[in-house]
Amino acid sequence: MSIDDLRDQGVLLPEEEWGEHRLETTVHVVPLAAGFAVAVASLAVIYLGDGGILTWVGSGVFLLALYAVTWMCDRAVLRQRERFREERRHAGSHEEEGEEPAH
Amino acid sequence: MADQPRTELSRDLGLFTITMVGVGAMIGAGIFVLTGIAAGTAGPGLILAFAANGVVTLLTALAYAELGSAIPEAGGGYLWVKEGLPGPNAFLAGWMSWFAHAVAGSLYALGFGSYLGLVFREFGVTLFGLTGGQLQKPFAVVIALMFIAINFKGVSETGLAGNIVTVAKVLILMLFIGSGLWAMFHEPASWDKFTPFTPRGLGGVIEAMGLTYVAFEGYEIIAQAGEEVKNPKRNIPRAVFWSLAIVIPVYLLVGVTAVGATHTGSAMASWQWLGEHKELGLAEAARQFMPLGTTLLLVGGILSTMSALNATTFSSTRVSFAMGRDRNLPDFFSKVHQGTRTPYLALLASGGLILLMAVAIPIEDVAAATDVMFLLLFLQVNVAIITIRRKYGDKLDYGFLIPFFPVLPVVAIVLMLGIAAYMFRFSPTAWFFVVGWIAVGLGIYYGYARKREREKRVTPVVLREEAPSVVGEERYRVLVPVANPEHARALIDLAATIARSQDGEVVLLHVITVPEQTPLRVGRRYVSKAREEVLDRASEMVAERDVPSSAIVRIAHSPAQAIIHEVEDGDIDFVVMGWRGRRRDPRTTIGHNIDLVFRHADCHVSVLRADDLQPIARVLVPMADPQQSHLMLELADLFAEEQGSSVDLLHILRPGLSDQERSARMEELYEGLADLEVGPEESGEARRMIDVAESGDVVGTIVDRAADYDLTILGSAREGFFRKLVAGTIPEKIARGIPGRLLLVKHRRSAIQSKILDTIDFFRDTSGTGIT
Repeated sequence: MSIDDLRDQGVLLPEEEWGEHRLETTVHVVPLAAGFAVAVASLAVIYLGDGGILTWVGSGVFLLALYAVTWMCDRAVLRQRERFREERRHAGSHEEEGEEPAH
Repeated sequence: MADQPRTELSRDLGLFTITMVGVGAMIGAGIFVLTGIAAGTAGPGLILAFAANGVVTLLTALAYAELGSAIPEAGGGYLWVKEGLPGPNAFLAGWMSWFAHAVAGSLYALGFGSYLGLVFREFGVTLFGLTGGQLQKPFAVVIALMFIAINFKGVSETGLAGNIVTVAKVLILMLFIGSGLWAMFHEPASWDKFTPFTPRGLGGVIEAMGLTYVAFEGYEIIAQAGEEVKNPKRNIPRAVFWSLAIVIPVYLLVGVTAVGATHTGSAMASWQWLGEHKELGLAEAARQFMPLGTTLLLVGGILSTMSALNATTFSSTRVSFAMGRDRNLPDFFSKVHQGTRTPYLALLASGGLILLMAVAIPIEDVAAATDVMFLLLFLQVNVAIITIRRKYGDKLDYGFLIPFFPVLPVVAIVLMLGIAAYMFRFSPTAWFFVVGWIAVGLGIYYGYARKREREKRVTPVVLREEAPSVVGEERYRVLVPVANPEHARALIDLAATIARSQDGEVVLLHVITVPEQTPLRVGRRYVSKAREEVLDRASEMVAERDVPSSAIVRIAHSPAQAIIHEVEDGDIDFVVMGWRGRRRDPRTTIGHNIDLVFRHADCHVSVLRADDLQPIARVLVPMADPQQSHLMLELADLFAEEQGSSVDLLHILRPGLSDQERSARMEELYEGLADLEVGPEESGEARRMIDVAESGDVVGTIVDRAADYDLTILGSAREGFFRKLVAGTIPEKIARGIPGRLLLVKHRRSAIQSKILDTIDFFRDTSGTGIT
């Protein structure tokens, strides 16, 4: 339950990189918030539709919102790797992307 | 642990494969067994329950994407809770995980029993006069025993067989959906079955969400397989998202077709009919609109429940085995059979749990208990992600970072807690078992596991020499950390004086500190040097004062860590530390190590700033808090007894207090010190009086007075966390102002105080020292 455990597991960054990487998400937050809002609103529409046409419209919109959120998160993962590589270059670390950090 | 080599798995799972692993784990026995039961609870609103569960699950999936990419280890959720939460949480995470997987095994065994019972019913076969329906529990017991035996032999689900089962069950569900939609589009009245949409209200929908939550938890396996994934930083989070994007629509469509395409042949609504058929609802529905419907659904159900039972028997056994190996459970849990190389006793215990739950309670309650336990487990992961980001945030390589942090994990926590609590309405029995299991777990933790956990601490004791006269005796123990005995003369003096007054002993601790990036084992080469150059000399100095002593050497990355561990392990009553009066880090109050010991050590602590303790003619004791003052006065009395020092007590009141406020304040102080014969002059009973001064400048007044004394004894501030955060504390400011000898004292905290403050500190600590 300490930094030693994480070091033993080999998941820590090299010390020279501590504090060099930003912790802000790479997800575009406004579209993501909109996606979540639409998904939640569509749940309300499914309920209010009471099994009628609105329920099916709501279900369709829910699935679209789900895919939009998934897509945005997926793109954010790729951007995160790009940003990490950039920050690593900036920090002048000799670690190679894809390799495990030094133990 | 730190000094052991790690065994690593080969990374050969790509994005597609690991996504399919997640899909296969989710589309399984849960959807086959639980759709009927959930439809009976939510009505056509089952669709809403699945969609809403998708949103709740997505929130936790974000946490799994972040942590699974940053800490891609085989332990998954259990490991993160262990890293991220204090005290018994790590133990409870394993303990609850064991129960959750075992009870999921009971659910799948019962599901299998029902499906096989239906096969018997289809063919009109009876067994010992029992019909298919009556055979559910016996079949469940037999299949559970069979898989216990299979797991004992060490035959787990092979990759090829697992893939065939996954493909088969997905195909069967696709056929079910396709046939159902075909039937619905050819009979427009089918769409009327969705009104009323929520016949049991939103409560029924929430119950269905709780009941079917287990069918959404399979993405956990993606994180658990983290060590085998190629490019895990990229592929783990992506696989988590895409597996959910595949599974959620499939569940929605299963819900739509089950309700819409089912005919009841009576006035009964289709959802009621599905509810009546419970775990067989899906198979019975398929009979009506799917070619070879019942047969295929039975095959799918039997295959799914068997593979899920095998997987849960395997995982519950491995969790209890790991807990035994981590010394959280008795060692026999980690015993491996010589012949089969399987953890047979952990398997026996897990098998017993699976059988007990399968036999003891109905399938709905088993399902509810499984779901509640998984909800509570995932809830812990959402708390852990907040602390892990705070403690190790800039030290980890993330593949994905949660947006709106920490709002989304907090929303997930609230939602999961709400659903889990709501499940009480559906099944009080399930909650009874869950709470009982957690209570037993807490009992085991505090009665057994905590002690064993301490034994494998990261500050190993490499030398322990106890004076023969005190071995095994319970004596008052005064700990003195010693780096250089010549500089510690005053400390040893003080410790010996305290120990003698209590008929106790002095414990000399030398800490071999190694840098953070160096393995602890490196410190072992300095043990004999530490003994010869430090402890032998320090022991002689204690012996000169006619007090027994013990000598201990620990290796640690930080002296504070070693001191705190020795306080806990060695039942220390009092710690005496030295302070040179400098503060290197402006973020600390006195100094990094002293601050940590003050905060975490559950005993009296004193910090001495003095090169020697002779002669002490006059002692000043400024008093504020009665509890601290009590300890300060006891120490001052020791100087009075040993050196005949005069002791003056001082209390400073704010100017402008009313007589009533003034006397209330003094009365509180006198009351706390009555047994030390401190009281008001007019009482005529008091041996000693407190000099009361009025001043708006407490720090300046005490510093001025202290100039006339040989030693000032100050009480450290009470644990004023918020006050410290804002302004620092008065005693520490005074300590800096006084140029002469100084003794700073902190009274032992109560057990409750200790727990609360340790928890606050755990969440505040961003250093990763992991002392708590």
